Amino acid sequence: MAKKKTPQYQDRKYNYPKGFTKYGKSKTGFMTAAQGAKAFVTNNFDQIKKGTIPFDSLTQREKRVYRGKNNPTFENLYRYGDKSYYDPTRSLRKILDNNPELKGKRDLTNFLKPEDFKNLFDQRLNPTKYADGTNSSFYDFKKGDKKQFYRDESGTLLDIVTKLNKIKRSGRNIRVIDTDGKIYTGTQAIDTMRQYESEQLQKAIQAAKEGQQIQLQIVYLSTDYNPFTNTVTYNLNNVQVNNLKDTP
Amino acid sequence: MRKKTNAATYYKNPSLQESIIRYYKEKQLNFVVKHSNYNTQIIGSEATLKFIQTEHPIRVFVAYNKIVKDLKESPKTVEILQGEWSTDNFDSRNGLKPAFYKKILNLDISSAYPYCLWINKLITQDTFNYLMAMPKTERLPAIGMIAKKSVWITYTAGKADSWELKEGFYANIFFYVIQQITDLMAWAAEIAGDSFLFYWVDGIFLKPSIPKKKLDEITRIFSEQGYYFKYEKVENCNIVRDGDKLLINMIKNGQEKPYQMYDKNLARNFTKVLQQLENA
Repeated sequence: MAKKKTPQYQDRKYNYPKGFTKYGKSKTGFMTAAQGAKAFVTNNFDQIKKGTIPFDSLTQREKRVYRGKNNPTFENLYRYGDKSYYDPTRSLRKILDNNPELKGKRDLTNFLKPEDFKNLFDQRLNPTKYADGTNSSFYDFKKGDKKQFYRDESGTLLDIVTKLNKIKRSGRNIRVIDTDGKIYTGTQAIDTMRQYESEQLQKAIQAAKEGQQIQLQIVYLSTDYNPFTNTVTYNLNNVQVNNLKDTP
Repeated sequence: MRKKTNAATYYKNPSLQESIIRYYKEKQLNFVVKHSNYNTQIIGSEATLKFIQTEHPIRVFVAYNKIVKDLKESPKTVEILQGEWSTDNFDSRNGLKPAFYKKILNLDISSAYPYCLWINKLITQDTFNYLMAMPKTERLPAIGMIAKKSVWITYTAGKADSWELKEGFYANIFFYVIQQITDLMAWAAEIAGDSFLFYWVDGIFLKPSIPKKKLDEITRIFSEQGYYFKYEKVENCNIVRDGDKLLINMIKNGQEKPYQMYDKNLARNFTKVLQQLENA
């Protein structure tokens, strides 16, 4: 008996919109499925969100594009020039959407001066100016909510311990010097670091009132990399713990 | 009665002007220096030296006098003089991307300022006809003279001791005309939407892909408002962004034409964001 064939996934056919030009030449015929799905979801995003265009009526590819666009991380990720910036306060989206000319815009390259954009993200939206994914963790959540890490301007989590797990998997050795001088390596080193961060976080949570925003930055000031042994060492005796909510 | 002095006219020569002023100062003379867009005059007790930038034919001054005469008699003048009018006469699309367009569409209002004066009943048919019979290069200075502005610096015994800014009494009429044309351009830009690129004084530049319906609406509005317009051939339009400046080069009617303008949208957008951030 012939094997039953599973129906093959089919994309929608997307015509180039009227007047669509590429490299100065107008295009006719069909767009590629990836480009078409993106254009379709972008053009109909509001209708899909409202349900005027049912989500179920979308093709798999369109659903995937829509999920990406509807994701809060995506929604709060902006581009300026060739860089991406994340707005942890999520306030910029609402502000831009209140202005018809800026509604839905995520690439702000030609909409703001470089210095104004920098001012906006560094001074007004970004609560941490110096946090760096290679030397710090940054906890940013309300007391009572699930603990969360802050994302830096490129959208990556400021969570050094998780990062170390990845580094370790890539073959690098991890060494941690504990507060009492003991040296830990490998998984134990990472556990020691997480334990240290938990203690610091616990202190901050206890000091905060219910519902209060906790913004705790833990910066490992002494990090050392030995290229011969491919080992990175973090010293817990030289750490700066900043409770940003207490910092004027 | 004012004593008649000797007068001499020269073409603008900043180093000669400076030398004469320095000489008068050293000799501790009493004199007045008048700077305007059109000329610089050094008015001494014995002679008046005039340095002109361009020599306008007598008909330019005749046209200017005709405009002023009409403005004195127009019932709308008083009302316009009391208003506040913007002299911003360019703008670009918010978020205009640097790009190269092989062809773009340029709609120019023909003789925008004389028509504006006439449509608004600020000048008579006779003055309008007189202006329209002049070449463009003379028409513009004749109208621009109503906004003439000059600085008078008085020197006593070789020392500058006072200065005064003198503005044409009808300057606000000229600013009103500018704003009328700019408002019309902004209206057209709004209709064009995504097809709008930028406008400059009395010409709007659009993407060639502008839907015909929108283009018809723009031209209908121009006609309804009483203006004539023409399509200009524009090729190889290159838009470059340098910070908040837009540098635009194009070939218009076979001649290279550069434009440089501030992108006012950048500051506007930032102000809007800041205002809402403060209110949040």
